[in-house]
Amino acid sequence: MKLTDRTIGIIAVICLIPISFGAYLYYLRFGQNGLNIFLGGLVTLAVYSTLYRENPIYRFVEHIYLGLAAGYGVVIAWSEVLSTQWYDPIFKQHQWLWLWILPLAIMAYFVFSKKHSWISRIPLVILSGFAAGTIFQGFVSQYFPQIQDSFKSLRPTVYTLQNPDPSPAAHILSISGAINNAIFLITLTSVLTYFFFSFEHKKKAIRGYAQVGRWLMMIGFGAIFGSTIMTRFALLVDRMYFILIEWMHLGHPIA
Amino acid sequence: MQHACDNWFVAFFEGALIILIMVRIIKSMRGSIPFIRRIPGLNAIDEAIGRATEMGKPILMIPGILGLDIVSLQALNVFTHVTRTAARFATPIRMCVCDATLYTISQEVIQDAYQAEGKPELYDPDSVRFLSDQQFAFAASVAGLIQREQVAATFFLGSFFAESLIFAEVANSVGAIQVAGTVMTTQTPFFIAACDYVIIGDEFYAASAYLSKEPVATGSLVGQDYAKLLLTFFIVLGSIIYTVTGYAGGPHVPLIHTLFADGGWNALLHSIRHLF
Repeated sequence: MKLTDRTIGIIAVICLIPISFGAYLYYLRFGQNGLNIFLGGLVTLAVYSTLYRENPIYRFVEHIYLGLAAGYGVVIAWSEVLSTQWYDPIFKQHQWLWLWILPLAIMAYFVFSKKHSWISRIPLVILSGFAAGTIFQGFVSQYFPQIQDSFKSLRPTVYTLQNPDPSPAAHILSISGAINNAIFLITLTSVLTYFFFSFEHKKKAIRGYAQVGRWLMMIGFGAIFGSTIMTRFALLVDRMYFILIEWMHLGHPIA
Repeated sequence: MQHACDNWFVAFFEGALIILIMVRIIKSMRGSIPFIRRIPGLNAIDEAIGRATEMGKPILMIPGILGLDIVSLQALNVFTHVTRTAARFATPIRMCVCDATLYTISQEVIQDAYQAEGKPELYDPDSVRFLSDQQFAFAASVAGLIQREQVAATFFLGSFFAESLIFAEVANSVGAIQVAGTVMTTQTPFFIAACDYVIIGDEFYAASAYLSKEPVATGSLVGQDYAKLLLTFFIVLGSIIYTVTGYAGGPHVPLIHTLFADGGWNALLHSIRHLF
């Protein structure tokens, strides 16, 4: 039987009575922190309710979340940005030059005027210019060390399978290290070949090498997927610990 | 942060890459439209729009969760194509954005797309929505929207993080056909697992250039191919030098290694002086 929105809503309202009573008991026994935990547990379950299907309880919590995020955003905008980087330098340290940002900020609000909405594009263009400049500078810092690290020797310095001294200061390249470097170079160049777009991959050699790149990428994605899923499970375990131990008190908390 | 005065070689090298790209852009702008290989994922875009049109349900588009940057602008290029095609068949669209600046631009882009198709009356200002600039509040809201509106097709193109799987899984649960593309390597596997078609890495920029046919985008893409070729040449050359000299770390660093580090230009000049 599929529950309708109205049924779920009625159940939620009926549940409000024992929930309020439970919250009161939590408050009496554990104080303010207990009340926070009680509400945290309820919200967690409300969000999980979407696993059944989208329902009024989830919608209610979703809108609370949006409202909280908006309020939080305003507070952060003032406390982390406007106050510390604009208001304080101008009005407390008297660095009046920062006032030049004010007209730019006001220009952005012209978006609400049909006649003068073009003015709002000026700060956008300036922001885009700043972004482009930063990217040029960031390109060197980000990619050139990678190019430098991509130079790999394929000639072992010792002809043993394992590195006898794995410390970086020893500067030894074993046979397995050289094989590792070869795999790295094949992966790098084949993936780069896959990402050439200005010519058709018609020649068998190029198409084959690009396919190798695609396969190697997929293997890499599989590894990333596996490791990230492990992290997500850690988050799930943490949430279950919160629900079962901290909220429902079904066991002893880990010291 | 590396500055040009720390290493003039790097500054000249970057300059050479910029010139390569600029030359291709100028050629493109003068009418020499370059060839761009069609990416398999692009066929899926029209397929997804067609499916939404048949079902009479909306198409959802999300240009990532970062603000105004190159990735989100490229995503808007693709969304312009999607919106124009959707406008032809009067298919409803929804676009959710996570950044106030991008919201303003998105509204204009979508409105322009409807006007370009000659159907400005179909533009609904409520179709472009700013939900929240907080990551998981945005994710929760998009998840709710997908389920409430039962979207038939989704396009997740841009920069995504931990919320990528939330979007893709929820859209999958309502049976939407999904096309996704991100430049975030760590999120691509989740899209591959949960979406129908995925545009991987640089294919994202190629898709944008291919669909928009803009001279700047197409010229830039071809210029970047040349840049990649040049970088591949340097990497292969560097590795050959390392292999021949048997360098595996240590104080006597080959010149090519030094060139890409601080003081690289000075090292080159020093070596040339040493030769003569």
